[in-house]
Amino acid sequence: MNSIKEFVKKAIRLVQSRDSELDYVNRFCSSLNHISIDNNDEFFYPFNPEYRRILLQGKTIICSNTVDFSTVLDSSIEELFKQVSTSPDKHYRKVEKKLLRGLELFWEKINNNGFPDLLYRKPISFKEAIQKILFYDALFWQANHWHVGLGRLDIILFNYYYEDLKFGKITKDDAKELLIKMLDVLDKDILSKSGVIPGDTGQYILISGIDEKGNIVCNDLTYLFLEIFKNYKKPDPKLIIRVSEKTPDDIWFSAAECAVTGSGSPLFINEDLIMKSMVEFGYDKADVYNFGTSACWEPLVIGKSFDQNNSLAPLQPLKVLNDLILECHHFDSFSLFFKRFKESIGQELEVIIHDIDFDCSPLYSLFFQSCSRSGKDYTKGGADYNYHGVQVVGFSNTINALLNIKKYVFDSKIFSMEECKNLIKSNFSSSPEIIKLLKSNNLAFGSTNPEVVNLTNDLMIYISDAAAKHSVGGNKVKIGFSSPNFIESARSTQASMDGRRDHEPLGVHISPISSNIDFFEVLEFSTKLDYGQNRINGNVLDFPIPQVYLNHPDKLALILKDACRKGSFEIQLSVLDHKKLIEAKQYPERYPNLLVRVWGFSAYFNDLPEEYKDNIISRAKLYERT
Amino acid sequence: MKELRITHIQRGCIYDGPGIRTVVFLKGCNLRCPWCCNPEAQSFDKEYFISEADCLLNSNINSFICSTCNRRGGTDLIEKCPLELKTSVSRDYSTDQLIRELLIDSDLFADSKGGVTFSGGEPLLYIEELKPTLEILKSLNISIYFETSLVCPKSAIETALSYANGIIIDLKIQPELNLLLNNEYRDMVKNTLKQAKDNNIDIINRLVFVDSLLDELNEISTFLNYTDISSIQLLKCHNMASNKYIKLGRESLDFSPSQDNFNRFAYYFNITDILC
Repeated sequence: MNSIKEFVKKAIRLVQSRDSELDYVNRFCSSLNHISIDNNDEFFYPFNPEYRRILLQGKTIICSNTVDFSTVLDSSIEELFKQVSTSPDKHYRKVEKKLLRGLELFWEKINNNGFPDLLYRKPISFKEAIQKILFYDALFWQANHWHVGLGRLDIILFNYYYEDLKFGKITKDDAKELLIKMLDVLDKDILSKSGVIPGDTGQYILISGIDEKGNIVCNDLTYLFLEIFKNYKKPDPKLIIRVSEKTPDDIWFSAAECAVTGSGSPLFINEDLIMKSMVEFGYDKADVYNFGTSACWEPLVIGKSFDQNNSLAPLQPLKVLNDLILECHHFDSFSLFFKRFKESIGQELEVIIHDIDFDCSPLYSLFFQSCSRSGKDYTKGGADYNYHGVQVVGFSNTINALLNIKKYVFDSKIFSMEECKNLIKSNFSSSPEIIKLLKSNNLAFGSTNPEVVNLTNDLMIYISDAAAKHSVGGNKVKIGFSSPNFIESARSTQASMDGRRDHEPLGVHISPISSNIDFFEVLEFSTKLDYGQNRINGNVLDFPIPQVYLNHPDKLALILKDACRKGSFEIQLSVLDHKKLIEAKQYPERYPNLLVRVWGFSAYFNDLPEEYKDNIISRAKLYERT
Repeated sequence: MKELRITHIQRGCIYDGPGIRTVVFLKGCNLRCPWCCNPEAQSFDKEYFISEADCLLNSNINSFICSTCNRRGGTDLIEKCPLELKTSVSRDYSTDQLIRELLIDSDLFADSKGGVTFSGGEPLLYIEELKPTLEILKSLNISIYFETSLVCPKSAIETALSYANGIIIDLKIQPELNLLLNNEYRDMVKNTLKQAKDNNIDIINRLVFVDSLLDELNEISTFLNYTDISSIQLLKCHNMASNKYIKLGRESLDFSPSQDNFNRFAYYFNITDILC
């Protein structure tokens, strides 16, 4: 009986999914009617945010994926027709052909207004290559996909650049100018592309890292992107650099020079460690050379991953810890308390990790070659990888709270678990001085003291083991410790035993929340964490560059290189001056272009909601004391 | 073997010798410069910082965590204060422990052509205890610098120079210290510089500027000529250590000079190497 029910359910889901794919194509093609071409623009960017395709109710938006734009550049409508015609699935053929016809009609319209036949051939110049990337990028946004990554543009665009340079069609300066114009086009719709926070668009450009043959990419465009970003004063797009011990010193230096400008770019990704971890997790060794990230920092394989790395609710261990304290059981020792806490984490993950009814994307499917082969939409098994992920938020607060409970409740017995309960419930109103005590503990997240490192790794490993018992859509899940939800999640989190008051923002990423942990210590701490098994869903150390290195990017470069060699996963740096930030909050007109890093993206300080401004100011103050 | 009493090990330093360096601050000094920014490193004895400002009693807060404190009629001394108001300013290291700390950054030293700088206090007063550490560093080809006042036995200087790749001489010619006209000190500086030059040891002459230096311009010229010092790295005295003096229960004196005076002195001696 059950198997019949399952069969019926599956059949209904299949019909619904097929309806949704046709609906996608219909709505997407209609949305194209609202796009017109303006011949005065250097590049045509067919995106009209007011008429984006509307998602079917109940579907979860697809976000944070990167199509392989080299496939896009090589594509022609005719070839795509041929490709989908070979698909074994009739419905897939029908959907994709309908989509391609829609694209043809759209092209006919814009071609009448002077747009070249780029959809039917490979670009023949650097400028055309940029145009074709922008064209399809815009369509992905028009189809209402979010966080559209650009990927490895120094590799993808290099041959076009090189040929033009060789034949004297362009100079290096021309190329630089075209790239800046491309960035401007990507930035111009920043508000309509953003989520809750202006700037959260997931538009990243990835440079350097190894190519298919294992050689480090460091061509003219790699250097040009770094040079451009040293002076690029807009929040979007952002730059990510893949680094390793083999990365040439001048690339490290140029990247550090870029970082000290305070734009938040580039984010440094340790490719040796990440590729190794990805293979251990289950990605094919032959594919990982081409890894990119979801919007911010969660690794995936460009052009092969449907990985939705941040679609599930984040795990909030601090909330779980609070709930356990509020239940007020008696524990004879910290180890028994910690054991019970971990069990609660396991139960929470059971709730968090579940299947999701995602939107579909016949448009992305065109550029995921495995989709035509399998006859499946890239969201329905067509993509090679479907490893979705969970993020942990408030991890640093949780570790500090645990260290405090161990020290003050179980070791020195300064207060009891019952008193912890009262402190949380009263938001420390009866004993505000306890906040000072809790924040004075030298054993805190980010410290290299073995007790801290061991507790952190113990909890990380437990969380990932517990997550590994569950799946999403039948696939195993990844865990990351760099959730962007540190303000959203804090709203529903009561005061906590790390000395945090009700609703105060949670700590960010792999970063200390104590002023006695300096840059060097936290870098070393980040190298001591265990990023194995499924703990690969983004683990970024986020820290302001100490004043002393702002005028010495050469030294900063060596320090970052050393940290990556020793095992930091990802490093994001900012430049913060709390006095300047306070003044900018008070007199926004004086700082119209002040850029700050929020989580995986940069934004104009003035554009941020007040609580985000306050959070950045308090983080600046905290770290200036180190 | 006596242990090494160290107040702080600072990694990632870029101003105390070439490359990226770890600076080891040894506790104990023959001098008592009144502007010293490391007052906790003057005495050889064990000392403690006491943060009275953080004491809840001083803020009139009646907390249950203070119920056993002797300041509240209980029996617990300040050592037991949960807020850890009393903390040791130093830690004693064995050679092994120190080496372990220093080698954390050995790759970084190699990449940046940096190394280890021993400072203090007066590090040369620990030269015998430092020998095993220096041997290991030397065997690993890690650059060794000493930041010293040279107010120490000649034999200590000679031993230090036998290991050193560089020496930072913190010139003690401010009138308050009464060494500017001291022939023994002048000769010590002159001979050390000569010996360092003869042995290809890098030299950085460093001077903390306080206003009183302007009163002795001629004598300073004579000193510099006599010792054959042609370049100086100038630091403007600051008062950032005042909290440390307070926590040591000592008076904090402010010797911060005016920018004008600082500029005048730098101009007079044509000093361009200014350390901020």
